[in-house]
Amino acid sequence: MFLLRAKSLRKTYGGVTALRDGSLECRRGKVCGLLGANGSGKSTFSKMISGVVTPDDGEIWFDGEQVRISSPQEAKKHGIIMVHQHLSLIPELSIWENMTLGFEPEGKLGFLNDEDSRKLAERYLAKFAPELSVYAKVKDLSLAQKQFVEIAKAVAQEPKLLILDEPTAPLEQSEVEKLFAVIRELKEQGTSVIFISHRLWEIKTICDYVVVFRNGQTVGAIDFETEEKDEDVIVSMISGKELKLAKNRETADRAPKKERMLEVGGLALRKSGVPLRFDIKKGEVVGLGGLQGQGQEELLLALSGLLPTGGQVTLEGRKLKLKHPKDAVRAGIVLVPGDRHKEGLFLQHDVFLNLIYPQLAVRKAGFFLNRKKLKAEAKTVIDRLNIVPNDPGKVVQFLSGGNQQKVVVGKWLPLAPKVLLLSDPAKGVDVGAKKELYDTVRELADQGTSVLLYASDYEELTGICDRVLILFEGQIVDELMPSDYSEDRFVAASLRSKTAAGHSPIDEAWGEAN
Amino acid sequence: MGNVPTNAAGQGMALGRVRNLGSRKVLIAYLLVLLIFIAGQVISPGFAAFSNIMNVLNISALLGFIALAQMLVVLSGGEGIDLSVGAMASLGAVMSSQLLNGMDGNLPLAIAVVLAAGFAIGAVSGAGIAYFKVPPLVMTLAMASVIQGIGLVYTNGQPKGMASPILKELGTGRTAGIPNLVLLWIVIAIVVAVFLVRTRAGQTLYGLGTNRLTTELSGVRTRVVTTVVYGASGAISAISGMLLLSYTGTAFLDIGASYMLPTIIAVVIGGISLAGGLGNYNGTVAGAILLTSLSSILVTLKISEGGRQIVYGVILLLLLAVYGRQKSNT
Amino acid sequence: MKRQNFMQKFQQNGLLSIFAIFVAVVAVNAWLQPGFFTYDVFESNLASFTPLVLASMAQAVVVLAGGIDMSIGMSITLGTVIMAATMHDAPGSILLGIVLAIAATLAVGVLNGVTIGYLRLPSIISTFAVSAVCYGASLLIMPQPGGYVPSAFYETYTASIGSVLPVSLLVILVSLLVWGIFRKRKIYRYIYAVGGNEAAAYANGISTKKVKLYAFLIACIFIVLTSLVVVAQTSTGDANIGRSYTLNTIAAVVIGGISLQGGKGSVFGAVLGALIIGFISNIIFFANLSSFYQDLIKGLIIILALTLSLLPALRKKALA
Repeated sequence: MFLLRAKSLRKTYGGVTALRDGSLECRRGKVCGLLGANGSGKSTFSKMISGVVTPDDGEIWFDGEQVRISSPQEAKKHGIIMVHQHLSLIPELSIWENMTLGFEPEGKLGFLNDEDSRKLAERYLAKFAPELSVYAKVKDLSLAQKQFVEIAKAVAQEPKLLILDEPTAPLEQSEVEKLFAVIRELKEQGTSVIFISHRLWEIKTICDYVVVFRNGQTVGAIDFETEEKDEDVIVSMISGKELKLAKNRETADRAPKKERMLEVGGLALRKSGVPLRFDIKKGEVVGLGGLQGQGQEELLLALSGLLPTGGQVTLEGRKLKLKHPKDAVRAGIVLVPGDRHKEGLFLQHDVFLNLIYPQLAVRKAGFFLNRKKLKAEAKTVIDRLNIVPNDPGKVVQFLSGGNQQKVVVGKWLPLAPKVLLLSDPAKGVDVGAKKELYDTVRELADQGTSVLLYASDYEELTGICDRVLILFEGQIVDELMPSDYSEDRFVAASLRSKTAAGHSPIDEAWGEAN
Repeated sequence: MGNVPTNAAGQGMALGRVRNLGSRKVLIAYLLVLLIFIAGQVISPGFAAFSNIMNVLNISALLGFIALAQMLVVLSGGEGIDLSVGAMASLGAVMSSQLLNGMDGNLPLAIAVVLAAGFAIGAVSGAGIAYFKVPPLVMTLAMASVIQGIGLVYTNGQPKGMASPILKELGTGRTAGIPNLVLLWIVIAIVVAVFLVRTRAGQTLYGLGTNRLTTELSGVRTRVVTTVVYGASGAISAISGMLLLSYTGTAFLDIGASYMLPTIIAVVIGGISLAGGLGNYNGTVAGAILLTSLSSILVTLKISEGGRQIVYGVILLLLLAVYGRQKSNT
Repeated sequence: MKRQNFMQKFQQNGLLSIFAIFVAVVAVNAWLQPGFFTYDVFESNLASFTPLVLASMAQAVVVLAGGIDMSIGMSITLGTVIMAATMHDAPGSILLGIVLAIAATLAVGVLNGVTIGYLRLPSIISTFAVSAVCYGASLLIMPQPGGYVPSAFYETYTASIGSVLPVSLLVILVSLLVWGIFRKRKIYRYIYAVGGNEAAAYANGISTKKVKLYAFLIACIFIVLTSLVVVAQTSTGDANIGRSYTLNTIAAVVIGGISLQGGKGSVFGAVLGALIIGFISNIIFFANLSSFYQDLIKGLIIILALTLSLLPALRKKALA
């Protein structure tokens, strides 16, 4: 009955738990939807099934026997193939070379039989993109075409279990339809599919049942064959109810802020896009919402000076030239980046160096360092943010994720920033630390700092923001005020933002049907 | 995958303090030096005599000066390494020799010119690395052959002149029985230690070496700083060439060549991670002393240059295997 | 769905611009070097370029697989020194010399492949350490330049078959043929895959460590050939003879359009790159410059080539 049974899989990376308890049962010839917010552990889970990541704990049963899948090769041997979110294609090789990579047909004496390879590639590519030549190099393809090559390659290996990790992200509507047609064909041949997506209508269209992950755990399943396809139920399972930030509902009642802090105009994130225009008042917390990867992070990087763009940025009426992060930091615009290990911390150094570094960078500190004074300052920050342990000499990589993130925020405090940019600061941070983090942000805002916050989680945005800008493909497509903060509006604006962008007939049809 | 810190420094640091790891390596290095001298005394009596110890320290100092240049570059991260330190020291030596021409009066000019030339050439390497993204190893290797060429052109193939009396006194004289170069080395070691730990520039360097992106986002112009670091490495190598001259009296065209590989090993022995951003000069000092002692006992054992090269290569491989492994795919 | 013709492939590999540079340096060389188009000059030019061409093919394979071989010069040296030290005029000693040289080169290749593929050491610095070991071994075998190389070597190398095909050209053609055989095997594609995107190659079930080891072993074939040619050319053993090859092969590979990031370019490009460097050396020589300037200018040209060849990649990055 079940093709795959995974029980209580667990994985931790250096103190950070990526997956606490992942379980899933996969039926033969059915499509299983795997749902969850970003960082809920579904990606880690699917990587374990496909052998890219080895679990610390738990069991995997496949085809009736217990298996250990320690490499992608082994997964393939069992007939498990995953189409990765970050494409596993080799840009410099042609489509047909890519499509047979790792299982090239061989002829006499182990020489390659390229003719067979090309035929195989042509046969499967035709299902998705008959207009493409198999001789084209992968680096010359569009993102959607690459995705098709990737999926065609997986299908060409005739897997028993096919895992698709957000395969539709780069696809247009008609292309999604094409993909669904192939999935249905596979189903009929008895192939099981695990389908990961953020778009609810896709899940409802193609999946036979769904399994939901949250905070590194499996939290539930819905069988569409016996139960209703209720969007509200799914959304509430994904977002969870126990995570209620202390909502400062009174923020909405406060006197509207008038004094302008930051004005942005004529800033184009994508080449063809309409330039962005918005402003942030003094002490205001503005959220950036929408699906992942719609330009939120680019916007923050542009404002931090790392990604120079053409627009005009005005801070307290003064025009800024943001050519380098130094320009932004000196003006008082500071960034808490999305990947704290890669972008925000000196992991191998102590909390002290991390906390004082911006002062060195902008030469606020004298040439000879007054270590006593700096230590005292660091201590103040540690106490203020409640960084545990409260020891400036502790090496940052041995702190928990939440405390690491506090260090990233804390290092800016001595500079008294005017604008604080936050890129998904609560990613991989536990609930308690998350609350402390947002309390600090709120406190800073109350003291006059303006905040621009991108969070992938809807609850985080509504919990703290005075208003939320919804981005789609590098443009602001909607602006939500606290009175609009309802799940419906958010879902409409971001999950189905194609409606908002106005070119998705199927989505509109869905909207009418509901 | 992704954000798992598998950096060498992560291992064995249960206490969670940076300094312990470095100081443990330094301690091991000095213990090995002690062992070498005990073994040397057994094999060849007189090896551990005061005069021989001073000799070893004297030669260690020369290696230590050039290794300082290497250390700064390695510390600055980004796979930083400088294969031109040997050639640069050679150039510094022949320039000093010709500029001084045996006269003390020329000393200020010689020092200024040698420092400036070293900085300028080093900065060119740095700019290639920082702005054009040429891998440091390749860039500095190419620069080494350019520097060699400059040396040939400058001397017309035959270095002239010699060290001046003051310089000779610095290189060969002793104060209270201790070689002047060793005393100078102690002073420099203290200055460098203060610079790295107590100054803004020194601490900025540690950040640069550990994580360039974080450093850039903090508001440091990392490319400018990288260029300056390679410039400083060039200047220090070149002036070390002058110190080589002070020891030998006259210069020859590849006087510094044999120091290149030992500088890298000394730096790694001393606890500077090749990934950058960790370590201190006292470790490099220990590395230089250990390597010179080792080389000295190999000479005592009548092991030739070839054997020493093999020993160096194997030590570097072993150090890499212990400290320098890259993260795996899983 | 058309097959690409040769010209399209040529263009796609970026070989067109390299070929243009090649034609330019040949033109300048022809203008400066008297009797450039006579058979004798052609043959002697070719004979002097061949070692770098072969060594650059070895470097190219390693770089395509995403590594770099800093030990290549000293590995060549070790081979030549072993041959010069063991050979006499007796055929048995010649055979022994060649077998020992092959064994030593393979040992170096295995050492590099294992340290980089299996122990995951950074190739740039671990091959550098291996280079020191090779140099030390060469010095032990031959502290002073010397040894004996049977005259048959030199005579064979400078001979030509049917007085139209110089042996040096034959060696290059044979090497290209050897590489042509590998092109028809899995390892060829895997080298590009691992060099182009190691994580993706791994996800495709390719054993990346094995591929890296094989890349170094394939390079050994060309390194052994280089050693043979160098021995024939110089007729002596010298522990410093191969030193310049490390930098020159890297330069040839970069000029030939192979990305130092790996996975991009072709071995044929490296051959062109090596020939370009050979012609540039010729030009410097025939331009009547003082010999002191030769190293300097060559170094500068290499630096220029390195920075220029990395520019397009930077521009692309800036746009993204």
